[in-house]
Amino acid sequence: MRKSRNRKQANISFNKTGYYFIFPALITMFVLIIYPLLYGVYISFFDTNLVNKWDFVGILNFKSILTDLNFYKIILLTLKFSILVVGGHFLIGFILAHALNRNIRGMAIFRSILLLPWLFPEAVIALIFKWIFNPLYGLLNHVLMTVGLTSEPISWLGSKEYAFMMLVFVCIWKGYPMVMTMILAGLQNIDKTLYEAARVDGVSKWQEFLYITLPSLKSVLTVTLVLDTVWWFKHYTMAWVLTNGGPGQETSLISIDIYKTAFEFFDFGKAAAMSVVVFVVCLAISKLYRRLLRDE
Amino acid sequence: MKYRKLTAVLMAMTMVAALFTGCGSKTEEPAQTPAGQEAQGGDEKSDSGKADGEPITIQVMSGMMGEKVEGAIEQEIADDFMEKNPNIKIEFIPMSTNDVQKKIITLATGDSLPDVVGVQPTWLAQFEEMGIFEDLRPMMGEEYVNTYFEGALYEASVGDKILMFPWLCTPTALLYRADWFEEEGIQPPSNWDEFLEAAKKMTKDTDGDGKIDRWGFSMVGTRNNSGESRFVAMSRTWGVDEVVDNNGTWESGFTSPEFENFLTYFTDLNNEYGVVPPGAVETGYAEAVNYFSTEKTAMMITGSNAIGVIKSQNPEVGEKMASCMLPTGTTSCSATGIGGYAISATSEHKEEALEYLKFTLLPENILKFAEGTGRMPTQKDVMQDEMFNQEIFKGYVAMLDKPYKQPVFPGYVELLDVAGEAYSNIMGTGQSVEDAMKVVKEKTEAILAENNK
Repeated sequence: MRKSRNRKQANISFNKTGYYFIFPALITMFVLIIYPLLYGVYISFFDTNLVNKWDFVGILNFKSILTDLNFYKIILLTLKFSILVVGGHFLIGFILAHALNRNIRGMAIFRSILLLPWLFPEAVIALIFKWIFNPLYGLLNHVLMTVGLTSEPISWLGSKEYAFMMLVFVCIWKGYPMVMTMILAGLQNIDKTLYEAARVDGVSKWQEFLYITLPSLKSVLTVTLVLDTVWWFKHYTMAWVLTNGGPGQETSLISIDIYKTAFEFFDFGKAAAMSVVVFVVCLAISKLYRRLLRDE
Repeated sequence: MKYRKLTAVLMAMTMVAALFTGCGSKTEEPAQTPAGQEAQGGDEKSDSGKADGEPITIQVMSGMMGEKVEGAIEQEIADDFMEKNPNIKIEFIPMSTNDVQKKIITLATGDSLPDVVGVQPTWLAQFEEMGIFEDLRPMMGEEYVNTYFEGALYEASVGDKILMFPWLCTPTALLYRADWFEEEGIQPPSNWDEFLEAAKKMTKDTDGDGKIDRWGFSMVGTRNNSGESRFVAMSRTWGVDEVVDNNGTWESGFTSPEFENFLTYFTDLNNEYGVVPPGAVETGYAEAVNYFSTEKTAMMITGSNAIGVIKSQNPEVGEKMASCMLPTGTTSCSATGIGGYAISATSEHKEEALEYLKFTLLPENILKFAEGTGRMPTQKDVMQDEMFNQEIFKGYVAMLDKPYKQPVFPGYVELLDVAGEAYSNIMGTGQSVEDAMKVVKEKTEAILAENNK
């Protein structure tokens, strides 16, 4: 009896020790993640300049944005942008990961080259592409005009027809290596005997992919999909540098709208309220993915 | 058991201590000045409370330090000051001009503004509301204040307070290729009809390959401060005030027929007449200047600061250009376009900061700056220098006699964005002027209503 009580005490004591060890991490998380998050929610209930004006307005900021049709248009545009970019990442990521998942000599060099877009800062990539797309001096127009595909320079970032798709293209180019790397890691973890067994059973390549590769990658895909979607849903840098959200509002993503509301129009309360809505949308996307891709 | 528990607690405490020590260690490292000198001490904001004999560090957040020509001259002046005042060290925080406003807000909310901050008049109303800058009038003294142009002082003030040291000005005028105008046998335009005619004549195929390769007007059509400020500089001459204070009620000319007429004229330059290079709405200031300096365009509406940039990009073009007044519509006017420095209200070295700013404004320094960059003085006597009789400054000097007094309106930047959205939509998405005007009216009225509460 006494022995069992002692063991129980030891267990309790052991559990407490665990808490002591996670305490620093807990504080760090609170300071760096929880506090800023809660502070953002707090600001959304004020009309404030963050320095000396703090007028409590209740849910007025939320009411203002949720009754504004333009806000929904921007959210829809951002969703469309995220779907196209993430879709592009997965398509290219899958193809390249498959191509790289072979034991061919010199493959490491290709892997390094294909990873390059991921290594460059977003602002640098945006500036490079801005000049590539420049109507007068840009490489793209030069090539197209040289081969006779167009006779006049095209305004890639300044016209309704092209601006959005060019932005999507640059974002796909920048982001596919992350998806490619994750899928490649997943592919390399699949047990090779599964494929051997499938081949003995005479299954086709497509069936291999459908019944072995995809199910084995499910957990990797879920994490990658959530991370990639949320990342691009709140993307700002390249859209701002390339188009400033224009022409008109053709590439005005929600992050640009929030940025302008806060740092150009000094309406921090409204910007914070918009950020809270974006947070909720991202949370919903994450839940949706988890539900759809849940392991049976 | 007790020992294990104690060890765990001690380790946890050590980790927490290490965490915070790690976070705090940066402030103990000496800061590096652009000249590669080490600043003294670890106070992030400035070196207060030094022992006798140790220099005081004045931190200067400068939008011009990021520019090639301006940055070099500003550093040169600061080095000269430090040599003459070994007890004061100037430490620059370079910043892109377009980012300064955001950076100021971020630093102000963290109560960590540098001692001296580069600012533009457009933002002063908001900054005054935040109470983050010192009123410079009592520090400067009336005698010193009176050395400035009235227009420069007006733009640097909010009410009776002078919030920024008017360092230099860049009035808006028309920069043009004098040699091409001479070749065509035409005079620089004095009104907007002549401007359009001149732009049409300058737009041509110069190498005979059947394609237009030179355009009349380097339009800055981006939906940002660069584009919008030029747009309203032009619209003012059509009799459109962005905002006016009518006995305590804010009103805007953006809802007027004059604005609609100007919006039509402005966007037709691209849509109808094709006198601007392709991609107007993606052409920012940098691209527009680049087109001018690479001989792709003949005219540009810009501040005098473009002179320095064009000269540095292509000295040959620099020799061939001249300036004239902005074409007149129903009136002729230009904002002084001052730029300058404010002193942070929380600075512990206000006197030293003022001493430095006054030094930078000594005639020899400001003339050195004007010669290199094209940015002009804000002090009356310095403007008498013969440098400003040159053809290149002629239009800018003339515009200084037509100062436009823009009221300090808290929603000004938002209002500018309404104009930016309108021309961007018309030129970039093919929206009609009528539809764009509906949005302009709706948004303008909402902004006015918000500020008339």
